[in-house]
Amino acid sequence: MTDAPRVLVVDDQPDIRDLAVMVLQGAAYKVEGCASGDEALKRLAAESFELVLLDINMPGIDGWETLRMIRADEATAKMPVLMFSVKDEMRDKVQGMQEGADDYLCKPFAVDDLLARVGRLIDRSR
Amino acid sequence: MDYRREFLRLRGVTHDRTTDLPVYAVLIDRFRGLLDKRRSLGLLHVGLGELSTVESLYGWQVYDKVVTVAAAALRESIADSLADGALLAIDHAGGCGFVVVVWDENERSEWTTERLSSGAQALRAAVSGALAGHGLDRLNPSPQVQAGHARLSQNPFYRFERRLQHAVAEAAAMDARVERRRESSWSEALDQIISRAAVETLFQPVVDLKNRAVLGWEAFSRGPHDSELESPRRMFAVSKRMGRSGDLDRLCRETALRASAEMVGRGKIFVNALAHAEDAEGWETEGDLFRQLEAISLQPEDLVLEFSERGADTNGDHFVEVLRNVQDQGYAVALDDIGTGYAGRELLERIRPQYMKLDVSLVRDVHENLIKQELLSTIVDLSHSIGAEVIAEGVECREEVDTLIDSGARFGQGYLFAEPAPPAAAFQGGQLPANH
Repeated sequence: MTDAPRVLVVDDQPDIRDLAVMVLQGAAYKVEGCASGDEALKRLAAESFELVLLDINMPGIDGWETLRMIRADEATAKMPVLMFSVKDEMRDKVQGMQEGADDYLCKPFAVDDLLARVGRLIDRSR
Repeated sequence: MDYRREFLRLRGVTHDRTTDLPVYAVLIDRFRGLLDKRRSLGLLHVGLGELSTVESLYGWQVYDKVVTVAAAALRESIADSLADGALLAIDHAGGCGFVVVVWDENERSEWTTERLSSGAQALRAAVSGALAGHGLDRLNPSPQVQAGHARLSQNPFYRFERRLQHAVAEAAAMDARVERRRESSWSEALDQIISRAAVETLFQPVVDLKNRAVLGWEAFSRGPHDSELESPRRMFAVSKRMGRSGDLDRLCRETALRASAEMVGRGKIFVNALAHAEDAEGWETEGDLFRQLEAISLQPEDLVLEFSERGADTNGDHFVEVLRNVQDQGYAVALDDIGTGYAGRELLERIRPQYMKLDVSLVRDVHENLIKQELLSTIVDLSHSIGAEVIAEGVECREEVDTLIDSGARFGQGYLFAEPAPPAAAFQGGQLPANH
């Protein structure tokens, strides 16, 4: 491993976003946060990341649409995407499976759980 | 305005997501330009029949795989044998097909009908070969590759767009003719099956994942052995197209219940109660269900009635009511196809089935897929909270079993344990291969 992996956290709720950013920074990831799907897609087009943590329910384009755009773009088609949502709803997980998300995390999340999932996805893709 | 995003969005409409091929209408200007310089263009059409059945049975991943393999084979075959000039595009109308427009660089020579026909057959062979190479010919029903051709000539009397649509339709119809012939022979076969009550019942064990102890047996129906409709999937697909799902369901259930009488004492018998409850037609036989249950000698505790969670999709409250009624009469209920997104937590809490059967799309390669594991553990947690046992369907490998056990799923069925077999063979001593 050369550089610390860069992770993009996308969530419109600042408290959860900041918490995730802080936790991941604490584990030596380089983390950027942004508040909307729009902004996330702009950053993904301009910079390189190794993983996206993506909230489902956001105003504007939601997490599913953002995920579809990520998958539609060759440059990010294979990017590990960890969806997270407050709903622990089976349907969301089925949809995640069908839309090509890599994993799913419920909010509020346990710190260890977040780190384990992020670590696992990054290890796999390297 | 974000141009890149707009571009990607448009591209999502104009290009097939799986193969990245353009839909043929996108290439219309190219085709027109080519035809301006020539008297005619050749058009080959390769269609994949039965794909919608494949998707409904094996899920979209398998559908995508078939289409990806077919597209790769076509690209390769075109590069090898049609190098002169060819454009490949996709045709989504009426299923999945590929359009190949071919021309000669030499402006005076033409694609003759014979050449078009042999070109189409070559593409068909290439696609069939590639599907077989990936084991996709073993799907049941397997995707049927058909090929047709047409010619697109200069004719200023018609608008070019419509001539193109016509040519594609003509080539696709040539594909379809073969399919129709097969369909009509299947329809006759189905009529015979129904009039002669010729379905057979096979049993597949449902086992404890840890020690392989047999919990019970699921009854499967199939057409007569060695007939065109032996494959239950094909038989049901044909019955659906002919509007005879109700008749076939009634017959299958009747036969299965009768065959189940032989299985008493060997574990619980899982029988499909309303096999096609996702359509209005599937409900036709609801009244017969109770009559049939009364008529047989089985005790309610011997039977588990299976319902697809898809039944809730069109007829939610009624579905719950029927299932409660069944449970009130002492039968256990298994809710099938869990993990396909129809039933949420709320519905499951209302129904409280005794068994939850995981759809094969969730089970397949669950050991390699984190989001499937996440969904699996959600389902298992839910099963505990409503007091249901989880049964994984279509288990094919040891790794799947390990992941299922780790997540807390208790039972499974699938080729890893045993194939469905006629009663005598199925429970030859009730033994299963011990260390499989």
